[in-house]
Amino acid sequence: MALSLRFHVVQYVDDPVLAEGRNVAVLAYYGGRGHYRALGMDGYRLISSHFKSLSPKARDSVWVYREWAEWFRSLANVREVEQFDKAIARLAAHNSGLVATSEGVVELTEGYGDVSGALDYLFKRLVRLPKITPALEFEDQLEATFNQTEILYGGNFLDEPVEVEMVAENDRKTVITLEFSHLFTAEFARQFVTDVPIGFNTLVLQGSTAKSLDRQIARNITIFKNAVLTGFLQPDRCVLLCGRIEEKHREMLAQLSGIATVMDVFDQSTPSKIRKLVWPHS
Amino acid sequence: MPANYKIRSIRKKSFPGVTAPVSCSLDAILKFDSAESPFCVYSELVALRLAQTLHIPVASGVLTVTGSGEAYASLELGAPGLRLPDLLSPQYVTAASHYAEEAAALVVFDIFIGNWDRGSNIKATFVTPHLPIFQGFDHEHGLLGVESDPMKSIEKLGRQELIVQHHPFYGHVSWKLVAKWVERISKTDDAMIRECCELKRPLRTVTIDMQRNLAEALCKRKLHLSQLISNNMMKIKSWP
Repeated sequence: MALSLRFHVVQYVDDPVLAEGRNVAVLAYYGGRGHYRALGMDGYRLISSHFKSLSPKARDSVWVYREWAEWFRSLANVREVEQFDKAIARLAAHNSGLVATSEGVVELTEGYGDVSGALDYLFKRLVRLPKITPALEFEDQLEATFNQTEILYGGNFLDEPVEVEMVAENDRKTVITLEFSHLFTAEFARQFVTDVPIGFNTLVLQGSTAKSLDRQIARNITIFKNAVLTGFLQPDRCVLLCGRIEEKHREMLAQLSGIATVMDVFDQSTPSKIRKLVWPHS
Repeated sequence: MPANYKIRSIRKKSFPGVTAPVSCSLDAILKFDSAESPFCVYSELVALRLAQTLHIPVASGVLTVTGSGEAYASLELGAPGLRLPDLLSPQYVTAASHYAEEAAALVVFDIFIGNWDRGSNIKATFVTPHLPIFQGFDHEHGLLGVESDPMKSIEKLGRQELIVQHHPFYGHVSWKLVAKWVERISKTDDAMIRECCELKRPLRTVTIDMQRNLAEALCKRKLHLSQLISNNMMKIKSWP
């Protein structure tokens, strides 16, 4: 006997005035629990670039989408169909940016197999996967690297750009711009964690023109040199994170020798190298 | 825990001053009185004033005027484009342990104002460590909205009934923290509660007398709050 699967498509509405939605998720209730397939979600991993690539506004609110990913995961733990329906009703009624559209039904025939197969099929048919640029792919890998190092959870890691104004010996004021930083350790953790700040900047190698790369490298050299000159960073605490170093990049990156440690975020050993910088005694 | 509210637009118009202020608009949800919730605007406004006085984590809002009269604008949290989801029931336990202090505060506050409809009306972050957010919203079923008749609501609040039979954090909050928030509320000066409830003018259909009576009921309720919560300890506190 064929069984029916009720499903709901969730759309991301970028502009409430235009009210044009992009399908981003498929939700269903079956067998005493919720089920989902959502853009960028791969088990417990969220590939942020998929949502970021929808629009500039989506890029800014990717941290909220991460919270939605948690919400989708929790939906799988909803046991009562009434609770599931209530959650969907709120999604439909509240203009939260993610909106549940009308309900659809598919028959779980032998062709679809089980619920999981049906959801995979629906997701493939209804949700168009965005094209991921090399820059976004790099950002995904960067996020994964920081996650693996676990410094994200330390409380003294800033995953947003900071500007630090420092004064050098010659009394000249210098602004040091860091994209990520690990600053000043809490007192109780001093014995385990370094209290010397670490400054991270990034360089996207793939998809950039040679001219743009030259400019970015020159900028990073200036920033890290000033950071050391003012005493804000030590040379071994200046880290440039870049993506997939190819042979053609080596000469260009050699300019950073002695100025910053260049790390490839796609290299599997990079998270442990960062961990060693943060927790040298562990 | 200071929260970030959503900016809809930043205008070109700037004002003089060393801080270079500019004009902007924030996103908000407008709430009106309706047949189903005839005292929504007043209840929302007074719940906010009480919460801000007691430092309870609820979303901010302001009184505003629309074509149909005064309305309550609940300011929206989050970033442009996407709002945080409302809490799901499987997230209640995580929220109560992640935000233990805030959850306890919200439980005691909801009992104090008789808000029996907390349900999923909470926004919280769980995977954004640098931006902790925990805020309750929607208080139209508290205060004058406990019952459909405002006089009955006032009577019920003054009668020391628990009112809140179900709450997302019942069974998940630390008794020590609950006791702390009970003490804070019960020690609040009567004058502060009156200032929160009495607006010195009618608001829509809520008369000055109704406002005064509500204040009196809450002043009585806070005195008996400790007893009221102790009587329901089995239902409220978490069990190891």
